[in-house]
Amino acid sequence: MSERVAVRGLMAIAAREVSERAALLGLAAMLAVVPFVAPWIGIGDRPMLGGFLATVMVFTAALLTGSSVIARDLAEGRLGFFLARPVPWWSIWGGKMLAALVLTFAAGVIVLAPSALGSEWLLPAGGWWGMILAPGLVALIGIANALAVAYRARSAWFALDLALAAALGWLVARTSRTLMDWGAFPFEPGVLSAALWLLAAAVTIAGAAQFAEGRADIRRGHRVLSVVVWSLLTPAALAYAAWGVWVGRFAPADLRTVYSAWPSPNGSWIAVAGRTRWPRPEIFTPTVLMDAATQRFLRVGGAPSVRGPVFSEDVRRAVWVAEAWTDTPRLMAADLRSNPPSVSRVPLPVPPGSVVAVALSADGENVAVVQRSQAAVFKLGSAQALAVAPVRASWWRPIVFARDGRAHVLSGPADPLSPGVLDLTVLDPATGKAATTGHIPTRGYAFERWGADAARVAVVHSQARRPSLTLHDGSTGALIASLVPEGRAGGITVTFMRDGRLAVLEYGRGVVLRVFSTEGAESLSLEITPTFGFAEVAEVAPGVLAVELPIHGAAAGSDSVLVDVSAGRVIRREHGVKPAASSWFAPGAQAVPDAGGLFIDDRGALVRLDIATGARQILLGGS
Amino acid sequence: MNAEAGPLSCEHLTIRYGRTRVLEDVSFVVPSRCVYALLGRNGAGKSSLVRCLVGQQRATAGRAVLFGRDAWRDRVGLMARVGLVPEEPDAPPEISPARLLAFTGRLYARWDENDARERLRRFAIPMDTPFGRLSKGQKGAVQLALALGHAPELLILDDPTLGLDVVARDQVFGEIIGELADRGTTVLVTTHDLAAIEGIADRVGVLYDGRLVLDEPLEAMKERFALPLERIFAEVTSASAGGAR
Repeated sequence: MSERVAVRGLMAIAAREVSERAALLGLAAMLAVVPFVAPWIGIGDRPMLGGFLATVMVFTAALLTGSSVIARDLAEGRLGFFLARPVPWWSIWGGKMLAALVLTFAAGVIVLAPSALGSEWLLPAGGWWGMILAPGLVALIGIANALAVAYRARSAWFALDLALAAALGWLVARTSRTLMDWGAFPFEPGVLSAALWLLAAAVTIAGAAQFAEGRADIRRGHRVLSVVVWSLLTPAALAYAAWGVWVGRFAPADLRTVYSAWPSPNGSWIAVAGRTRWPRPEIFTPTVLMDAATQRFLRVGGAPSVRGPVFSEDVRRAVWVAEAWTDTPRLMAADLRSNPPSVSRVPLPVPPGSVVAVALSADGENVAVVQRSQAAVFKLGSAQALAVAPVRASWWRPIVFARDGRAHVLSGPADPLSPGVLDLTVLDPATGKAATTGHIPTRGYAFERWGADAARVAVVHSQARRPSLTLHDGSTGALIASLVPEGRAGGITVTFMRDGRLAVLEYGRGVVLRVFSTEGAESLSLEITPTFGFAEVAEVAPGVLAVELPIHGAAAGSDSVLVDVSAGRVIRREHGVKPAASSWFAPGAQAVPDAGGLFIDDRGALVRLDIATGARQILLGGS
Repeated sequence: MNAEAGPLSCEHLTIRYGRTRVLEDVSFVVPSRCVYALLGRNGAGKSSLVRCLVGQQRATAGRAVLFGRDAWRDRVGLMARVGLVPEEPDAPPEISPARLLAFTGRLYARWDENDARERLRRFAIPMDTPFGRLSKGQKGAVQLALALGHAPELLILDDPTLGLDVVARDQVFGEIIGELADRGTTVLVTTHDLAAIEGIADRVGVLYDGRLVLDEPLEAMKERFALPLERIFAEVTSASAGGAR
């Protein structure tokens, strides 16, 4: 038997299978004209409808052809016709699978092409076809074949198949869920593509083995198929689960690029968020609590799903909310004094729903959380809320504790992008009462920063366009001063200093730093740079501000200007570093480490900078 | 090839489906140019045996040997020398006989389409009617033409007259006799149509309850039993049933 005859046979069989199912292509041709004749479809919507119909068509074609080209002939006793000819198994199997592939892809192209070519809509980039669509359809054809063979064989192995499929499916789903809880979304294109190719290879190899070793005996073929497919998929699923466990067991040393870090007050603990090294998922951005002095650490979770962590004043405790965006958030409490430090889940006495902010009282005894429609204060470990107040928190809304133990929060208006009124609500856990104690008018799209002890709150109005800044009393909401009028700055960044003063960075055509007293009096105005762009500011040592300069042109990293606020002068410019504490992670007054400011360098390393000497110590990270 | 073994032999062939035993330790040899009739009632395991002989099914134990080669392992090479007419017509139902001949021809290195067409003409087969719409007799005739199109050295027929009327049955066997006269092809035919094979079989085997209970030349058997073949079959199977009991 020559190879030539075998290949000729393969092509003949493929052509016959295609010819037998030509009606599928006819159906595709009919669907192709639907976007052009449907009266309710506008010209601009044709590509979308064409894409939808093509998707339905290729899935249908993959399932129909995959389940019939071999399994139907096998069950109806017609495979013997081919096996009685002097052609090898791969010629028969290959011809039939080639036909399934050709029909599936051709059906999709027939439906999609007129819509794609008849408009300005562009097809996805070439890589997408190879990464996702091709393995997805090959896998679908293989799965359809496997299911059809298993079903038609009607043997006890089918029950085993179902049990194994359920077990491995559960394992993969559980691992994926755990990874997603960690913020390590496992289905990024590269991983998804690899998984699809693996699945496609497994079901294709199993289908080939089933044909080669089972031939006309469907039960034997089914056994072979099962053995091969589960032999390939079981180790893969177990490896995935093991990888998932390993991904979750990250350590600070696994951080490749630090995104943000904020220190505990009066202590050496630092909360660090950053990206990990391959082979952890590219998108994985975990947060760890790290004791820079002892290198002890605690895993907090993936940054996107975590609110916090926040420290108590004595750094005895830290709390955070895991799975904050789900309907079942979990409150986690860390005992930082124990050795080793421990984490436990504690009750979160709030109704189901996502948590948008969390705070811990100075003594570490009470926790405050904000949800979409309520704020609550409760004793850590208790299942009963001490005080609850209705709020309207359409997005992230910080809550802070005052020294007297009361929690302060702003909420509203109903439409956060429109002008309205922010309600100032104070919750008192001592009396169990909550009250709206003041109102702050806003032009909309407002965000706030709270000063130490919740004595002051600064509100930036209309962040996106012509922002303005007002300073208010933290208990009554009364306007103390209008610090930046509308139209003066392109953008505003604010941070309260440890001593209660407010540092304001106005940027736009240039970057100007202003410092205001707690009564709104300007004590410093300093042009940092005439450069246009976005800038950040943070207090990196007592009385020392670091202004992150805008990045321009081909510059690879950030520079920071250190400003001595008391002296009213620039200390120096530090190249290749930016302040580590993003204001997003420090809604209240930021803690300022005495041991030196925390910065992130151009390589993503977390560094401690000696303000006086400029000496840098790498704490972790750096790609 | 082992000349003594003949073009076809079964060596201790056993077939089981789960706990169900279909064939148990079946051994026989079909000599060259012989017409071997394998008789058995419905469900005796004849079709399973044929599938093992043509490498479509793996035996639970033992093996089928064609031309000295293992039928399971060397299926591809052997099928160039073997023609098969299955019990149930298995050609693609949507294809007409004319296209079926062309399609099948592409699967062989050597194929005489004119010869196959001539056979179909003799059977008066409509060439453009889809195979699935042909009568049972016509389907059998088409399958026979396909099985002989590459001039096989061994022809295996699995109950070829099942469900055929007398005229169609005579046509099929007439064609087989013609093939024998022309080429001296070795034939294995499984059947329960005793009358039809009585005139052409050289040797007869009887399958009963999964075992080969008789295997000897037809003439010798007739001489020994001094009975018509149908009576012999009845005697042998009832004797085996009694023995089994």
